[in-house]
Amino acid sequence: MAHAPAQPLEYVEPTGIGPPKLGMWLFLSGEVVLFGGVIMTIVLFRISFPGWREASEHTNPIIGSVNTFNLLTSSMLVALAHKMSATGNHGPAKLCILGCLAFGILFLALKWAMEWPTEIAHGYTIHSGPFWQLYYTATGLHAIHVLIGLIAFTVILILYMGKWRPNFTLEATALYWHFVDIVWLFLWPLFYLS
Amino acid sequence: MAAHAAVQHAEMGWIRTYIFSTDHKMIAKQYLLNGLFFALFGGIIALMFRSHLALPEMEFLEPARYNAYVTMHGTLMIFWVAMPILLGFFGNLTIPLMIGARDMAFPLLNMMSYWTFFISSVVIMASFFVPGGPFSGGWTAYAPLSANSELTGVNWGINLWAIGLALEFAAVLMGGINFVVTPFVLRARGMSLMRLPLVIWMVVIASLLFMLSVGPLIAGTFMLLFDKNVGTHFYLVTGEAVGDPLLWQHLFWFFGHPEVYVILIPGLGVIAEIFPAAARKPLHGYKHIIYATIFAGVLSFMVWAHHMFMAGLNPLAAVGFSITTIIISVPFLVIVVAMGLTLWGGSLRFNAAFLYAFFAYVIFIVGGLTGLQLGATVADIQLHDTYFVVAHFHYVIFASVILSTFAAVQWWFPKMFGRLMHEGIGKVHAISTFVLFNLVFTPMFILGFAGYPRRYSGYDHIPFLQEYAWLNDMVSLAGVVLILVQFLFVFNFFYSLIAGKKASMNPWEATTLEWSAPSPPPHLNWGDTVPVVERDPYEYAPEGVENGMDYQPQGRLLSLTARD
Repeated sequence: MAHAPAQPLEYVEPTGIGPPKLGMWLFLSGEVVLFGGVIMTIVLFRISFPGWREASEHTNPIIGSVNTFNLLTSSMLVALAHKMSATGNHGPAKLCILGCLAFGILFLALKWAMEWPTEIAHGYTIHSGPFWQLYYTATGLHAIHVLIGLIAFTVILILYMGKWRPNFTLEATALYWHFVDIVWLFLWPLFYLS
Repeated sequence: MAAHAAVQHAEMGWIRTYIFSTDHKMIAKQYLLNGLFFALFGGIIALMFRSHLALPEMEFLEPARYNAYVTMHGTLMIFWVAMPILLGFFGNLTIPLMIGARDMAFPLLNMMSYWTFFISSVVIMASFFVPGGPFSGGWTAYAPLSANSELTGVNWGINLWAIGLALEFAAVLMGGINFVVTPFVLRARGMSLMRLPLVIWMVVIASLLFMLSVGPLIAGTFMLLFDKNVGTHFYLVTGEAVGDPLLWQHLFWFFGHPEVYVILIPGLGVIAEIFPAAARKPLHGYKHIIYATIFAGVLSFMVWAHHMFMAGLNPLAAVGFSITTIIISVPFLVIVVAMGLTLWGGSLRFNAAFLYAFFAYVIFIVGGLTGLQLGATVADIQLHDTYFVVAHFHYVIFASVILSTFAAVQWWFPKMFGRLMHEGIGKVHAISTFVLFNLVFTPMFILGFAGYPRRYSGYDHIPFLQEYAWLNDMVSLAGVVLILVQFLFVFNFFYSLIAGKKASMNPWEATTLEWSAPSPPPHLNWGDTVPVVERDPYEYAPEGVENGMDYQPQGRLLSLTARD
């Protein structure tokens, strides 16, 4: 996203917040409303339709909780990576990004290779009523966001292996990653713990 | 150093200069041309369905096609005309030039924004050529009607409609991030927030409104596609499987009402730029206009259900939404009065740009006043889904979108192409458009009270409406002429592009920063000089004439090498 001009625009007044970070905050404000709409729909359907609790008993809270742990840990690693990169410890920073990637991939693997196929094998598909259609839509939308974040971190890591130093880009991507994490903290109780 | 950069950029190839350009002025022109194409196309669609209403025995269109064309007229005019022109064109052209920046904060993202928009244009145009034709469920696409292709007879049309819309939203989101970030981080020295020209404030507020309202509809669009193609039941009710038929209306209008202000506010910003320069007076109540706009923007998130009074809404909730709707007219009254007081006592210069802006102002006032009647639940029960609604939103949107676009093109044409548009053709076009517009839409208020429902392909079978059939025929006739008159603008645009008078740096003797750049500005706008801002944006003074100038430019240019 950050497209550095060929020469610095030297007449620009310095402001407290860099353009990539401000842009990311704005993007995230839009994302908050997007997931806000999804979560309001979940709440609305839960109030309107009986049988929500019975349906939610068939989810797998162990995978859900392990995945919460995965996302929280990867979020912590990203925060560490940003801090280390900012203080010049580039070796550990790269390791932290790698760790974040590992936990993120574990999240998707558990969800897409274990959890969803098991549910579908038990007959709980997207056609199985209000709970299940929202379960697949909302967690699917979230998983796509996880995937986009993982792609971004992979690109950053590859570039980081060279001479490029990811100052603002890493910070902006970390913001995104924390946001994806927070969304999961709403979806987790709504689907697995209700 | 920047001059060096400017030289380097000037050597870019033809494709990087004219097609995949990251220059904000080129992207603005691309958005403008794309938007004007769809404006003409949407107008011709309107011409076709009004011809059908005027001469039903000719059978221009079959009834299903009629619905599709009404739908596409609304869809194209809102999402493929208003959005690219009022945000894409205004934002890209004015923001860097008026705040004294060389380009947007994220030029690459800016280019991606336009080309995503272009792809969305191709997708929506493709829907005219698929079996079943374009989507025909109304531009609001109410589910469950839109989620069931057996009801509309349209299958691929609705899919392409939804995909095109999602792409268009993505494009405007990318643009919107640029429009908000750039004024906050790239202002020239001395350009404090309260010295920003009003149109910049308006584009920023509009972009924020869009970003904070569109999310639920994007989610809702995907749920609509799932309902239609995957077989879920978010909105559909079939037998045991039940969804919520009202959910779409909530998601749509939670976006839809802020969206009205997204396309209204930048238009008001253009009026606010032209009025002080035409009246040679400072803008009256600059801060009041900004605060009123922010207040209206916040309130616009709390009024959405006034579109749903007849949808089975709880009457108690309807009262609440009715109250917020009526409150929202207060900030707009502030804005309208401030603009009127700007003209009051000024020595008006009746150029074509001012005429367009003034007619937009007058028409917008009528649109605002008739909104009050629709906002009150009691009146809305009679007027809902009649021609009264059609007249009301055309008064609002034609003013803000079409007339202020004409005003902006006439006003900033020198900064885009280095030439002036023809004044005489502009004035004839402005006056004839104003007269014909009122001939089309004033009778619609009367027809609405008489009970004419919207979206009917014919009224011959309804006995109690026959009394007013002559009025409806007059609407059709004036509407056809109104659309034909628009070719005057098309002619003026291309004629002036080729043979218009060469423009000086500041042909309107206006104050804001863009008039201190050459016409047209080169890539990176200011060459080896830097604008420094020293004044408020609208320092026109009819009494205090100094050195033969009745205005003070907002800033002056410093040579880069002389600085420090």
